[in-house]
Amino acid sequence: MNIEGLAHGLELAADPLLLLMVFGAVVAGVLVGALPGLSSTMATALLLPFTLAMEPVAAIAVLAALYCAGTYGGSITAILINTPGAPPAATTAFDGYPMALKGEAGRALGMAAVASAIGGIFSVIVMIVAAPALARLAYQFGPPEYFALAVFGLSMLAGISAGNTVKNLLGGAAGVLIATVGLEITTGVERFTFGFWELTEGINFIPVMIGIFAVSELLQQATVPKLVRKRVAVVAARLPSLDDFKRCAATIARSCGIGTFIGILPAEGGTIASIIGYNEAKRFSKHPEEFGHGSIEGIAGPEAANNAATGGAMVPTLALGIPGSGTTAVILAALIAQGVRPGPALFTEQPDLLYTLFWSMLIANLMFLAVGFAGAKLFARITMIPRTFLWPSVFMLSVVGSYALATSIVDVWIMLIFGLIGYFMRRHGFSVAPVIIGLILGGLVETSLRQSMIMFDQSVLGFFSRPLALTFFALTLVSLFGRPVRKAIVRRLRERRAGPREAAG
Amino acid sequence: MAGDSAGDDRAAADEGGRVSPFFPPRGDVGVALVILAVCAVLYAVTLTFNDAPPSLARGMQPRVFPQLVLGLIAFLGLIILVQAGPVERRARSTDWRTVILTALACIGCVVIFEHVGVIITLFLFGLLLPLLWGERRLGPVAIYAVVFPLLIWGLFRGILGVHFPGPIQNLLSG
Repeated sequence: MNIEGLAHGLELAADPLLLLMVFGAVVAGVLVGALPGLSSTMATALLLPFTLAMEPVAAIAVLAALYCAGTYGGSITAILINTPGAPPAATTAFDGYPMALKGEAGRALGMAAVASAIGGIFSVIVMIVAAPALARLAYQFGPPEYFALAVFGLSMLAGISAGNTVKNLLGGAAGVLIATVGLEITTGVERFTFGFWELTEGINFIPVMIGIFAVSELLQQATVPKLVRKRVAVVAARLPSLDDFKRCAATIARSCGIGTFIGILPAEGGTIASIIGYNEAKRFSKHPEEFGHGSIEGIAGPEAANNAATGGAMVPTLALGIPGSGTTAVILAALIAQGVRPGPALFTEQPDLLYTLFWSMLIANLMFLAVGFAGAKLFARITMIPRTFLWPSVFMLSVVGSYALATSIVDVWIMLIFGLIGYFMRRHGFSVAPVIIGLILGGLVETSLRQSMIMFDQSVLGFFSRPLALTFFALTLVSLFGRPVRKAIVRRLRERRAGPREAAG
Repeated sequence: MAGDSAGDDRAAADEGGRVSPFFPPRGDVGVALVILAVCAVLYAVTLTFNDAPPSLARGMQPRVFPQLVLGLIAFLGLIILVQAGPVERRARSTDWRTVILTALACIGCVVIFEHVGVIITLFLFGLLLPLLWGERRLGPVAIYAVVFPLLIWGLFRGILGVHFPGPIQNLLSG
């Protein structure tokens, strides 16, 4: 850890204008997170065009602050109206809403804010230590290791919460294929341009992201029946009592570790972290019977875990250029759009950006704690915005944001086409995030494979001479087949145990 | 994952058939066939790519990588096809009329964007979509349709300095 760099980063992060922008992003993030259907991924994608006018440091700090706050914001509506603002808050509703029905909404909101902030701050501290260490390790990587790492990152898509393994992998592969559109960099041969010169430079990530996250969700929302949600009395969040805090301290500590670890794994993120955080909270609780009926630990567990995943997800994003989640894929695209090269070189070439980002994320976590306490009541009211006005606004921002990138109508068409594709993918059980992760990793996969093959004289056996690459390939196999193999073994063991019992009976 | 949106889970839940963490649900035959057909077409397209001189290609022609990826996609599509069972008929609450009209409104918005400019386009969209989605309070709709597009235009023009084509914005920009 570079203390001098950290001190300089703090100096930069304390700039009043940057603090103001981070505060604005935190307020917007909590709001977006609280609005059902709007996720922090979509918000970062929509905000991305605005950030292009900012300095790289400010742009990334703003997007990261929005990410942290958006993850917390989902808990507000999960507790108050039993509708998680975003998937990572889904498990918070299991106990948050029953608590709200019992008149304990303020207690639930308070615990959600505190647990989220602790999880977020813990993971940022881990990020400060782990990201530079991982970057130092990555200095030893050559093209074969990067290829194996990118393949491992893509294989991790298999575990993304929604959809199933095959469909998630297919989405990732489709993203890699989209990345091949345009001129092939080493030979200058055009691929999949279909005669459109606008495609020779490839497909811009940003309109694809806006389309696939925002426009597909708009079409999805058009199919959602008009629900009348039961609202509970909105009260202000209140600080957890000492008893509550004592009861939840171990749960929060455990979830901090779980969330950060899950976040660090490429392509995993808040939703899985919160599910595991909830399950573990229940498993270790002295009162597991209370879960599902309004247990305070049932809020602390998932909230600490999903926010801990934010800092964790930034580790591979910054150190390796491999996105840790859908939102960090957008942040990675923002880095690239700003002309910043993610990966180990970032730590030597632009340490200011990194350390300012660390501080901005820490500050964002403290800010959303304050904003959460001061404004939970207000945010809950704002979520009353009718969907008939909310979703047209999302599309308007999508159109103008896509056009503004390069004042090109082609980008607007790309945004729309990918919005329609994303809608049909969702309809058929595909998760859309893998497409974006594949699109971002596609260039790395092809370039590193090409370079590796040159190094190995066109023989794939050359990979066997690289232990680190082999380790990543082994991890790839585990991530692809670990879950079904484990399930098959468990099933076989159960059958074997059941066999003698049946025979005895 | 953090990147998921609520719709993913809903869409996954919408799909009929058995729940398996690894294999696709039933009723995906059509999806698999579309994937395989698209792969076949794109594979044919890769055959039309120019060959690079050997000194540049260094053993890997530009068509090879896309072909490898298409092969992988086709393989995954085949798994979906093999694993898919008969389509299970399940009642879905999808309001297709609204979906199609929304999609058409979006397409129309992009079509006219370049010709009539951003403000008129967004005004029309802001007027049309709320009404299409069942909003009946005409006053708020009218105010929204005027104010929100101007707000967006001002934001992008003022902060980002983006120039938008069209008669009204030219007038407003002076």
